Amino acid sequence: MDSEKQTLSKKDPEKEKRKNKNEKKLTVGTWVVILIAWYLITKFEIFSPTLLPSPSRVLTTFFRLLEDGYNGVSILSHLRASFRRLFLALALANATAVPLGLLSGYFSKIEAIIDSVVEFYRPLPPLAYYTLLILWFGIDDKSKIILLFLAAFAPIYLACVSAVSKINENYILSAKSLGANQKNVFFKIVLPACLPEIFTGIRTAFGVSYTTLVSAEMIAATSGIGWMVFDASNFLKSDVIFVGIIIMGITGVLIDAGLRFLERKIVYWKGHV
Amino acid sequence: MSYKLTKIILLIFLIGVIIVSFTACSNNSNQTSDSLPEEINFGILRVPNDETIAMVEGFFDKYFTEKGIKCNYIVFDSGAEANQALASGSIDFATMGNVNAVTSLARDLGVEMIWIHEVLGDIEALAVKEDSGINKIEDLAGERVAVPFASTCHYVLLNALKNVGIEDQVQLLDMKTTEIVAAWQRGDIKAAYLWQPTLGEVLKTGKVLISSKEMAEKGYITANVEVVRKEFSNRYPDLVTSFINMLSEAADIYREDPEKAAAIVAKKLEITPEEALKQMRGSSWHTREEQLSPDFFGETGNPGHFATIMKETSDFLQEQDSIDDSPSQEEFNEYVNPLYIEKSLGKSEG
Repeated sequence: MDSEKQTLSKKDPEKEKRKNKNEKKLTVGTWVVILIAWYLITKFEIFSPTLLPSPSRVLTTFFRLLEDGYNGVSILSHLRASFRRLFLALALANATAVPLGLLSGYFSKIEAIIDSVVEFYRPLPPLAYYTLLILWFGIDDKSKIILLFLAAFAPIYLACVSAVSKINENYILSAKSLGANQKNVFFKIVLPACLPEIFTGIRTAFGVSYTTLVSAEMIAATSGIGWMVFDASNFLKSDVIFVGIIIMGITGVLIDAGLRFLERKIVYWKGHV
Repeated sequence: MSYKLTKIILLIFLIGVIIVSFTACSNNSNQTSDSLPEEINFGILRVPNDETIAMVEGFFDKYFTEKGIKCNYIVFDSGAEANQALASGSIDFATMGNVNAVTSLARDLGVEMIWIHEVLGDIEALAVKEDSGINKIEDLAGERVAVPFASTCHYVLLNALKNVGIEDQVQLLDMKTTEIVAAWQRGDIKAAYLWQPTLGEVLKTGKVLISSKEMAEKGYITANVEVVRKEFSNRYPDLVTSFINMLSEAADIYREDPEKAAAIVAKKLEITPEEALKQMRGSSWHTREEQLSPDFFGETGNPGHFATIMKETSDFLQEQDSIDDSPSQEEFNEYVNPLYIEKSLGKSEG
């Protein structure tokens, strides 16, 4: 997005390109420094391997996990279990939060009903109410998906409400004066105008529910990448914890990139109006 | 110009990282060796044991606070959490199941085992719902059993399942004891291996299939033990001896008057004295002299049976892929250290 904005601003494109290149170097450099520092610290054994396993050990563990899996279940199955929970929750959140959010933005009475509830539970730490969800929905996937759903709902809902409130009133008025009915106004004006912000909401929601994943899989799970990290902590298998965290970090970045790609395809006009 | 700038920034970053990591390690070695620490951090379990009696009766004040040492207590649900705290150096002493104590050694946390709080018997058991139709361990095939992973219960349960050859047909769920009670009451699980006081909760609608006492008779002995960071015990050996004295004095209350001891811990654990007494009878407490017998610690230079139990537990954990390497018998002989009990009895010249 940022790069789009920059290329749009009418500066010297050659200069812009060079600036981007330098920034890329800094990013790569940061990671190189982190890796070198990690390597040196473990090389000189400043901390015990339980506190900080060496990069080569983490790599070996990664290949071992790829080959044998964890707890008799392959890494891919763990990832699949986690992503099934995550995407079901996100789909559910999209299906409910988008319409409710748009309606709330549209009709202040609906907002009056829903908004305070969302504002109340939104800042609550998930672990605070997770036990209740388990009591109500059981220890299976249902309670986990609902926890992730609740985490994802608020950002999407709030993004929708704010998107509607930001629509330029003139667009709606001119459409109406040209004879558009309520339905046309909604699908031709309101929805497209809100899409960019809805996408931002979805990306935030993904991030929030991904951070909740480990909490969700902490209780009574036997699969999932979050559970793997949690179970490894029982025996202080810090190499497995590192592998889990790195996998989660990389998949998180990849999925966010995927969402950004979708955003560019669907909301191709963003930044052009 | 900007290429140069990049290089400079990278260099500053690298130097910064190196300085930070070196000051971090010099801080550790820079401690002055004064005679007493300012504070001691104890990791404890909420169970009816000698340590709980000592806390309620104010023995910590007598042995430590009056010497000007502040005592902090950190409650853990299981020894797995205590190990994490030990690894980071946040606590000095920790109570944990011996399964976690094996992990402490295997992960090289720099601790040693100095005391056996209690050898676990009926206090830990495999409970099944009354109406579940499960009457023997073999019936558990195809069922789900909840258990706190990496605990003594987990270890005993795995062995119980393995002995009848159904370890691959039972799905184990990792839950904390309080979560097990919740899931039990909802009807999500029909079987769970857990410890008191939560075991008492599920037994209100359940029965015992097998207890750690029966499994101990088959050789799968488990116990709650005390470990201390070696850095602490090397610097303050007298305080470790005081700690043993204190636990021994607290346990004497139970030995002399079980009802009184039960009333003491009942208040702290928020259970009835009758319940507390029943739970305390579910494990066996041993005097310092008994702990130095060949059955447990043995004597310095002449290791007892408990080191062998720890090694067997360790080999099992390695088989389960829970730890990478099982420490050798010699390492366990050194790890299970009778020195402070000997000092407490005035037996050691050191």
